[in-house]
Amino acid sequence: MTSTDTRPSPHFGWSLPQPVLSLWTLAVPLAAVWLFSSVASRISPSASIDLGYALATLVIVVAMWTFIGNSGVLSFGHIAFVAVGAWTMSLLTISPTVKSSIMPNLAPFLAETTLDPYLALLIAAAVGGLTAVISGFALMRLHGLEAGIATFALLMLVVQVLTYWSAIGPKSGQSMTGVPRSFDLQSTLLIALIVIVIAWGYGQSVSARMLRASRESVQAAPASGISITRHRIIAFAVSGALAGVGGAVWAQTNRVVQASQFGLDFTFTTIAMLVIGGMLSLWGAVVGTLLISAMNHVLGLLENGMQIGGVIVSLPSGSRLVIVAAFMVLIIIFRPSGITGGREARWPFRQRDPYLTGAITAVGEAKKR
Amino acid sequence: MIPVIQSLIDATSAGAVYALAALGIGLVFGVLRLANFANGEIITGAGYALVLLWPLSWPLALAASVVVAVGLSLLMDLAVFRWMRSQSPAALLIASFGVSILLQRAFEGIFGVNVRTGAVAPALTKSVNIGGLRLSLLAVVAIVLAAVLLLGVHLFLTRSRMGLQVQAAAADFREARILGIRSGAVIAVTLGMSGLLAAAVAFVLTAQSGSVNPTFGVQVTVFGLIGAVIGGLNRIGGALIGGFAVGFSLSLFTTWLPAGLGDFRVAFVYLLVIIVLVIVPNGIFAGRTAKERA
Amino acid sequence: MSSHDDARVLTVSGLSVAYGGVPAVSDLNLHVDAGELVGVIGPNGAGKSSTLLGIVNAVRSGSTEVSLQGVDLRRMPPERVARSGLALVTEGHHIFGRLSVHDNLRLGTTARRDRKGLKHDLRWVHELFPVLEEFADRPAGLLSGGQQQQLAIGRALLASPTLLALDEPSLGLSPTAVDTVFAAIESVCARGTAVLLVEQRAQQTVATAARTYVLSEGRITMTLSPTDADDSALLMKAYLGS
Repeated sequence: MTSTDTRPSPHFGWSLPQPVLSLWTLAVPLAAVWLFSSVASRISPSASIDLGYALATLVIVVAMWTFIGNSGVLSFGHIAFVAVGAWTMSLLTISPTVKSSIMPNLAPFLAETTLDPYLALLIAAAVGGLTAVISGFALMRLHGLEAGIATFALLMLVVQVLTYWSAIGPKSGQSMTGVPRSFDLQSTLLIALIVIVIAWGYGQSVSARMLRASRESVQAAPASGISITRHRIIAFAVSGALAGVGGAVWAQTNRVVQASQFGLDFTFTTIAMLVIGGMLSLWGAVVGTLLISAMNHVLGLLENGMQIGGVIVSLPSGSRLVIVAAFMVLIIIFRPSGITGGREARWPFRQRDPYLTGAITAVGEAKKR
Repeated sequence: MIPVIQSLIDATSAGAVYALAALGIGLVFGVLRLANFANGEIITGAGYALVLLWPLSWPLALAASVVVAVGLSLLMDLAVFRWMRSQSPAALLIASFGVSILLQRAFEGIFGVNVRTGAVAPALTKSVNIGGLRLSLLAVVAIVLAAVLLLGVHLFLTRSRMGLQVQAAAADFREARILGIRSGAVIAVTLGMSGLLAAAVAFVLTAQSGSVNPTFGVQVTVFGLIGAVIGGLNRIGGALIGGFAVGFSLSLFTTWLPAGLGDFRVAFVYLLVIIVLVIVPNGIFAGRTAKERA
Repeated sequence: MSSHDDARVLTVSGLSVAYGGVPAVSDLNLHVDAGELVGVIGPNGAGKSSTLLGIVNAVRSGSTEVSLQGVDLRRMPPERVARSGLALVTEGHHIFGRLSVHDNLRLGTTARRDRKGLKHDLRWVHELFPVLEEFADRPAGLLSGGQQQQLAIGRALLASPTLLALDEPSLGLSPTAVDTVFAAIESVCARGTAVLLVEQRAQQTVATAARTYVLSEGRITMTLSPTDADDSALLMKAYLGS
């Protein structure tokens, strides 16, 4: 916590300028993701596969943080933007031959178009952002519980539309297969790192700071002249765009996309990762995702039967979600601010100037509830 | 004319079921500030009791469903929500989401992933023909059951001593305690009532479908939650009406949407919900700004 | 003037209340004897409400002793404190607006330990506050501020408490309403119930109470008696702190 000790520190005691300290909060998550990926890609083929999903999920959870962490408003609907992004990516990268056979009712423009995967990625971001802006105008006056449930209704609406509207996808809930693998692991990692930089950059913006100021007191902020709704819509749009990117990456990792994949389970898993890591900070989003992804990988091995010592340990299938759920419930009861406590990555050496120490922890910190 | 009346009857019966679900959710929210996502699993649990025990003995099945529903309600609070009394409604919602997932998997583990079939109250699947109108006995029972339970809850809340205490606790929990109202008793009674309502919902749904599965109660709870929010979570009556409206419109959309759009009936309900929330952000009956309670 | 231990109704020693590490009340001592009206005055933010809430355990507090007629209240939940005979009328008249006046009063009997005198007490409350009988079936939220305060007090009285504690009952009330409230409080005292009155109206409180504590920044700085009521310089010093 903030030190009130004003004696000169015996540790590395020079005062660092603020920009360096801010960049530290970006550098640590980037380094963690890079390190995680380096290790995971070298362990085993199955770990590499799981790494691909982990990176896609990381993009999604970081996108969720961009809105939820900065605004303090709960959103259960971000998987809607993930779905939209996945849909876009699939439609624009699956070959026309495959499209015409599995989606006969597709609008001609969509059936014939195929684009460069990076371009498709950008369009997926745009579509995700646009969907967010439109729905944001409707939903951003809400907060708390009502926001959670209204955004949930949004998710359900989007999933229903994607399931049944055969002009933009397969008929009645069928799946889109044949989504090509457009990004290798290196590219996926690069995309994830760029998303983190963008999310961090947004977090440094004036709009985001104003939003964070309104987080603690929804009543006080308007009095100081801050238009909460406008800034929330901006946050929602940015997070929608990033979630679209996440969906696109996920789609090309999974190779199969179906409306029913974007429902309660996916929503729960991503929310759980964010809650476990710490809802209010970017570092929390990263920590939560990497931790749970690693855990999922290990549990997956155990579900298939793994040899520990001389014993073969085997877990029933479906255990993964149970354990994540149990973990999340425990965290929310005993440490609701998450593993990181909602704080960004901190400079580990003590500063001589206690005022500056306070400044570090002020970046992205939230009042303990 | 007849198709119109027919569809109104069907819609009312659907509305009645969702109203019961929303009322159970609204009651618990009023006292505990908990919008319980896991209410679906309470319904599912009661559903399993009904489907599996009905062939043995129907009084046993009915009793068991109520016991299971009330028991799950109380257990959830004891295990999870009791430790979170000081946290925000949003945090409680997330926690209830976690509990919901845990219980779904538990049901999967105990009863298997697949649908379990079994007739519940098969006598009710008959229809009666009255002057061209096909009245499903189940629809009538659903409406009557809902009306009776709603009246019962209303009378309990307004006339009985404990009911008044529940209302007081829902209005101002701290003040109620300072007056001497036992929080433990009020919470237990409220959870018990919501369990009873959940069992009633399970009864109608299992009688309708003759089956149950691990995610049996999810859909009705999602709609119930949404209905309660539209109606205005701060008013018990509001939650009820919101739930009814959602069920009612869902049924009407199912009947009246033109052929090409039929698949989108659920989408239309969600769209309607979002439109309502845009116009009245805090719910139709919430009145003045309903800020989050402490 | 006697203060035998069996006449001591409420004893509070070493009471401390803190919110998130910020102390609101520190090491507070007070007592109320049977049939006494004891006052607590002080400026805004002095910790007056926190003291009362801390005594009934509606907020977390620490203390060496809080006892009501010898019963240790410290680890009790607020509902048990009420049922032990301490009725608190909170600041801002928290009546239940959607319930009728009659139902509000009925809820007041929740903490009552002895049903026998209920009819008698109800008649007395109606005498003190006639408006409550007149508006018995109206939703309490429709009453004026002064009337709601009367309802809150009447409700507390129906619990037949050993000690009645009131948190700024005159707040926001018209002069006539204030007089009604103060007259009622004196009547309660005359009946033998001990009263702990927290107020902003310094002069009136000091003049009426047997003893008035002055609270400033969470601590009791002095104790005043009715003879000090006309000493405006002393009152000012008490209010503004030293």
